[in-house]
Amino acid sequence: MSARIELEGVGKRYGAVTAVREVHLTIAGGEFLTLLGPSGCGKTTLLRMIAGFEAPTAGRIRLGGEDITGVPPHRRPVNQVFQGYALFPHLSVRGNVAFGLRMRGVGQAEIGQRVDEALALVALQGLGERFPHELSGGQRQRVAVARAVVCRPQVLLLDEPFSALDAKLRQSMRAELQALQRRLGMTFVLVTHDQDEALALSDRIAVVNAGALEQVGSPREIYHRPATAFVAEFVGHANLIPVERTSGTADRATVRLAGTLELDLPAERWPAGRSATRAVVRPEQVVLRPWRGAAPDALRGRVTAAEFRGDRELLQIALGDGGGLTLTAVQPGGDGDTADFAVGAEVAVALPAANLWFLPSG
Amino acid sequence: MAASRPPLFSPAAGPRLLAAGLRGWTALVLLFLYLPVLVLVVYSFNAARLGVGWEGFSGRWYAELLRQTPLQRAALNSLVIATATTLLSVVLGTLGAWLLHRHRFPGRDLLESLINLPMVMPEILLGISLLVLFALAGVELGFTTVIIGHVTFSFPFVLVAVRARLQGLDPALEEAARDLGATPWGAFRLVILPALRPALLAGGLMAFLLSWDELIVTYFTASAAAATLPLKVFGLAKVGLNPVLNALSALFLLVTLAGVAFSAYLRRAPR
Repeated sequence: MSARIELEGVGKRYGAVTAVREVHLTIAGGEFLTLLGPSGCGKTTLLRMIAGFEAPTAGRIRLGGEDITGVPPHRRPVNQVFQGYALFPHLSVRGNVAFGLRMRGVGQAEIGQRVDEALALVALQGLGERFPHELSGGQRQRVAVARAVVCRPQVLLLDEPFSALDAKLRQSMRAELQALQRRLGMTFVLVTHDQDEALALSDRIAVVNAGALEQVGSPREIYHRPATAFVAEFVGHANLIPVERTSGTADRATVRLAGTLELDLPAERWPAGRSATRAVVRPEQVVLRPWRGAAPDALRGRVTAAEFRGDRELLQIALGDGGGLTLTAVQPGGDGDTADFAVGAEVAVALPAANLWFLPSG
Repeated sequence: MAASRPPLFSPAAGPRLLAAGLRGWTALVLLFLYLPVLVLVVYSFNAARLGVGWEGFSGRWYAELLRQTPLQRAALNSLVIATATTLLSVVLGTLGAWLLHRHRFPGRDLLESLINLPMVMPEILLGISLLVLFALAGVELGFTTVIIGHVTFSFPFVLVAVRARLQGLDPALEEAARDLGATPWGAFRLVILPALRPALLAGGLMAFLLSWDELIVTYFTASAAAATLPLKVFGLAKVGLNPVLNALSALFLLVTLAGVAFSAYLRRAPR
């Protein structure tokens, strides 16, 4: 039911424009992999090449070890959930779901049974006779999923499947989709620009930028140990602080953050072969205290803006002696005044060494 | 308030008068459009043989029609020609629309303009040029030549309707069909064609009606045996107004209305 996909140096050029450049990626059977990136980064082109709608101009695509590079889309054991779903408007829900089975010449009795199963899988029993225009957005998405999985593809491709849904529905459909993937054990490849979606759903995330893979890793890896500044800034909010290594021994390194704050940490945390780089600090890792005079572990800052978000509050903090750096910190969004961190308040900003991640590049 | 009031109308009366005026105007336009047709239908039941005086209700002109075999023959010709024109126009128009929609090639815009031109080309020019062409090619005038003439100006209407529909169609529909195992032809037949249905109906009806009442191109391209109803009526009307023509025209109108009603019915049927 689930097969491994290997992209071997896959590239796509449109005339002089390079949409995808030499991507090497292996997606394991049964894995939920997300291609995450901004619009126009080439993630959709990658997906379309796996589906067979675009032919790569370089490289090979293998499915379960078999080269499918030149196989037309209707002969690939791969099905897709389209952005906007692309349900056939002239066919009922049953007609839509049965379409793929009809094309494969499955017998009438088996079609009926498998369509029933697929509709039950997405909790759409009893809606088989409806037409797409009579369904809600969430129901349409379920039909699109049922229509694709009923063919028992080796790989299910999903192109921004949640973009047409409102925020509430998106949450619940996300959970359903993940449960479905676990149950079917099918290889899922999801394309999205939404980092929340990628973090919540994936076994692994491949961050795509300008037609190339920036980093491939588990959601936690991507978030806490980004390989590049692009990944750090695209996934979640990142404070990037210039840092240099001032001295150290074989096992300890002394680094200076923002030109002032000296920290001591195990040498293996520091990227090998670099004298200076940038540290990634997530807003929730910034420790704020009311300013009570200089402390060796803290920088001096001033709150310049506060944005209440309900469960939390985002604070912008201008560092007093950090060369004009502004950090984003997050505090629980309490009720009433938190005068200590009100706009204009002086704060001590501590950046615990244990929370720092140093970019190995850039 | 009072100072800003226009001198003639109160603020409320202005829009009301305007609305009443527009309604009256609309009624006048409709009257202008339909009164002649209405008069014709009423007079087709007039017993009078000559003149415009009303001499009582009668169905004799319709009965008279039944005895006019040449007219019946012409009506049948018209029906055959219009049906053939419709079928050919729908096929040609759909294929052309698909070509223009799916393929980018040098001269595409020029080709599209050339295809659309016969829609606005003077019919007399089209008729004469076709006659010259057929004469040069040694093609004998008959049904085939009339149908060729009619298709020439009818199929662009289908093409335009289908092309507009194609442009409004989600391109992912075809990909979804391909993804689910349909061959390119299967995707066209099972997904694109059903989506084009309204455009095919509208374009097909247009082609039918254009052919059904066409006179000038037919005049140049028909043989006596392939004469259509409008051609026959035109010939008779030249000799003098004839109450039989009134009855015939009323029936002609009936066929046209039936066509329009049929297309409306098909469009309302479940998709």
